[in-house]
Amino acid sequence: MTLEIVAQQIVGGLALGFIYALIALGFTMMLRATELVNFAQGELVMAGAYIGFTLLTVTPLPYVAVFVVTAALTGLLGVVIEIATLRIIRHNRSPLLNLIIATVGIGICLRILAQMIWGAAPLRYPDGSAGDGHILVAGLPFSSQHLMIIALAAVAMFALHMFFQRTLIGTAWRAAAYDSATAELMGIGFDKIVTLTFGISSALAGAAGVLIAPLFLVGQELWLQGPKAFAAAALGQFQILGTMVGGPVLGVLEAVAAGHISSSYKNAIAYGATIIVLMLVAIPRMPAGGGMPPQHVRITFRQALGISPERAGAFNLAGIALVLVAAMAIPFFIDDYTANVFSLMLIYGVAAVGLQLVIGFAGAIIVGFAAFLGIGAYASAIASTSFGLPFPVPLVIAAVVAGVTGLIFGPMLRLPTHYCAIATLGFGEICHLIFVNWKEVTNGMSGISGIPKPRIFGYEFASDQQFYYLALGILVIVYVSLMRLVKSRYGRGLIAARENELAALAMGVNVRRYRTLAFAVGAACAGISGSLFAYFFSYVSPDSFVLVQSIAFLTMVVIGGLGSLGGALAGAATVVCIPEFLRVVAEFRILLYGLLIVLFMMFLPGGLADLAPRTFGVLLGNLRKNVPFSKREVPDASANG
Amino acid sequence: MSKTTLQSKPESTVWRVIVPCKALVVALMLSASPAYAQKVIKIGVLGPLTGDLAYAGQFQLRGAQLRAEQINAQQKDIKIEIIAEDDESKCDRSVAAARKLISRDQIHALLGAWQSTCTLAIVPITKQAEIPQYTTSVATPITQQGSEWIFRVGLQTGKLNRETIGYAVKTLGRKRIAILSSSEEVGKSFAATSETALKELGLQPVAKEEYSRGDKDFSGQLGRIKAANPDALIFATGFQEQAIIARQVRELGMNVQLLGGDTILGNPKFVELAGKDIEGAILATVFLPTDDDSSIGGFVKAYRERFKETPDPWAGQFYDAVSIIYEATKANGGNPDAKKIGAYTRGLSSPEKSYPGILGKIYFDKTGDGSWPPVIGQVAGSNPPKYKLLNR
Repeated sequence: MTLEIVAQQIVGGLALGFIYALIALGFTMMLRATELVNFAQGELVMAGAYIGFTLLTVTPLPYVAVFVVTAALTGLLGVVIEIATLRIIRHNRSPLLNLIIATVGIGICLRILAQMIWGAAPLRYPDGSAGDGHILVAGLPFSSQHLMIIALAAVAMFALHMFFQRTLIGTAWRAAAYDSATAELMGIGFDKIVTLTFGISSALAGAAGVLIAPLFLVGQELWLQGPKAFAAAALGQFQILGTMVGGPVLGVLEAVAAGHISSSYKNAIAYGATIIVLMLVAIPRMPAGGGMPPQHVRITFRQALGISPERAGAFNLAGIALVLVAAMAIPFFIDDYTANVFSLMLIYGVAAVGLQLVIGFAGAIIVGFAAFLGIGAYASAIASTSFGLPFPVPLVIAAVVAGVTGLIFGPMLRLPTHYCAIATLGFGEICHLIFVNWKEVTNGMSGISGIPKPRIFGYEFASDQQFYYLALGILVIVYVSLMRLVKSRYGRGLIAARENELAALAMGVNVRRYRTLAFAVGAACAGISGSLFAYFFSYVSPDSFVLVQSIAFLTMVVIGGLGSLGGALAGAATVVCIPEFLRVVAEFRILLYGLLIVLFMMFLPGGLADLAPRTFGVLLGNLRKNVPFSKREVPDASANG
Repeated sequence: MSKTTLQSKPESTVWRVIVPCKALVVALMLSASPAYAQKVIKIGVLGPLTGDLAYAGQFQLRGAQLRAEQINAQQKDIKIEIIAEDDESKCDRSVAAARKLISRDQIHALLGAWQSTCTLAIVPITKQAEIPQYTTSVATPITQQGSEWIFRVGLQTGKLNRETIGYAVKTLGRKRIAILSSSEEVGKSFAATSETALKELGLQPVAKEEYSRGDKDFSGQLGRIKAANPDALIFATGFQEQAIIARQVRELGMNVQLLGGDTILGNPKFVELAGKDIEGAILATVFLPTDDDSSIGGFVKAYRERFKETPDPWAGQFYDAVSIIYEATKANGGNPDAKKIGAYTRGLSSPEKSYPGILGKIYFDKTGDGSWPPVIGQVAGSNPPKYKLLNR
């Protein structure tokens, strides 16, 4: 490896790092001003790259001008998105997670819209538009493109710095980020600050898109740079200056590591470093007393039907029995394919209730949950193919392996909410890389096939209908266990810690241990789900356990309604069935799916767990039509919740 | 019980409530078909239609659609119905969609998937259901699963790069060849077969490097390859990845003959994307959209008229697959039957007993692997994409 190549690698890494920094600054600004993690930031990078492509090919503008105009246009797009969707959700006083899931929905819409407008094939910026050839610096040839990127990104960051330091609006922004309540008193409208933040961070994403396009080509997969940049922001401790340094550091680290160690685990380096840094510096020494209480009024079916609280136990039992009988009867009315979809729904339901325990009850935001599904699926697949173990054994092994992994990584739950989100996201990505690269065990991208059909006492669950009953049986066992768990002393402790961590501590609840245990139980549920998944498809590959799938689980829980196990099942049904049964409308189904998620977050803050009983109650006349959605009618000045 | 897995039940009432329109269409079709006495061949086409790989799935689908439209316009007795399914380039979706096509839509043949891993995941399903499956995927193991229902309407990666490497060594006189591939299944079998092809010519690769799917920066691998001083580089796989590799090869100032390791170089969209950097690259494939070739000129022209773009090998492969399914049905007295279609395709077993399609004289070996000789071509221009045939 010559000096020339090493130098080129470092400059290449630096160029990429500056791009990360631009995207990451958007994350940092958003977090500081609103506590929101914008999952659509990566899609805005993609949008910027596409807009830049159109400007470069249709107009005679030079690259630098396109850079500026695209930033402005993407910023405008961000402002429109904020005003049209996110502002409404904030005004509903919805939990923070609802906002996050809304950005997930927005991201899905942006991606599919890009495909509809610019086509599915990746595109290339016109030759030489972003500089071509080499410039000799100190006798070494450097790509002029890399140098151009570094220069433009540096200028953009400097402009942002001057904006914060020297302008009145920038100062107002800093005031609001520091203390939004006081700023509001001084006449700095919080709504305006949020819109401004969204606009600027979108503009930064758009600018990054124009810079990254000549290196990476223009395609939908550019959105994947979003999570990567989030890691850079976390490395920079979500401080503006820290982020400006964190990006380049990450870029160079990656480039050097890929060149000298292993390119297979390149992304693992970024996320691994982030998790380590977070665990070292971001765990609060003292309990902050926060938590994530659901802030809406939930109506239960019992209330909706006008049944007195004394008869709640009998009512719940009757309800479960009714649902169970209905679920048992379903296979008699459906064909194989529908049974297939419903089975998948039940399988994901097992994982969704597990995740509900962690998010809705333990109050942590977990992003990389699909990793536990993967761990369970691989453990089960290997146990049943390589070791030939009979059916229930691999399932138990999967639950134990995933549960123990959850126990080991439980300390991640001690991180504050958004740090926890990025740490678990990183964990999920690292697990995916292990599934892909640890070929001796996982067989790499080819996956493990030939998993036998499950069989108990000689009875084989071979057809889709039979598998449906198997999945249903296991789901009922998991569901009832979890229901009893959350109603137990332990469950009440978890809920107490979620509502008021300090009070729970004062009452002797070991919050840390309770949450770790919740994570382990949730992970074990995912493990069981993963094992069923492996048996169901008789095939396991890394493709099934990716970030998109993790986000789908998050969506299930939030659409279902935080803190409701039944809601998580309803959420799983929605997320599985909508894209599947909308196949008739082809690519529009993805757009519809994304739109539905956004609309849900906008107008149904309590999720399906709230919507269904509410509708019933109003129809039966047991409920006033205008029961408020929100617990607190007094506006919370920080609008953090 | 296990045998009944993939057989269907009548349309249920629940389903009709959920999607009334679709049920209505199905009901109409069921009631209408006897009246016209028209036989319908149902062909499921499965591949990525949304997501990062959507461009590939759409080429495949359009090739099949074009042939179906042509046949439907030519005669009235047999109608070909194409049912397209999107797997979003995820293999678990491919499996679900394949099951849906077989059990609900009652297809007679399945075309797809596109990614080798996903095709591999479906092979057991078509084997169990005894539905003929046609694929363009190139990974070797696909036809080694002991299924007599899988047919590769193309050549596996080993056959392709033996031709490419043979041309580079024998005709161009290159001796120092480096291999760069992705680390997934298809990349692995590509690298292994390239090495075998070199060994047969008494050579060793001067460097061998791997990357992960989705990588964007290859300077590490290319740096090490450059240090080995090669005179040719054979590389695969990945659409964006290969375009970026071609650019970085130039940027690093490497003076090598590029050799395409898989059929992606035959895709005009890819050549447009890679631009000048890919000009001069040599590849072996089953089909190249060259206007001057009379045997395929009609297809290229018709495809351009219908879809306003130049077809690629994948489009050509599924075009021919639909032709074979149609011929099989005609040979069966016009009655669509999955088993007869499979038997007919298995009967295409030698140059004498082949189907003359746009890909050449199509025939398969015992495992269902396409076995006719490939074409060798060179990328002669990138804007618009142009190819030159070197061996015809």
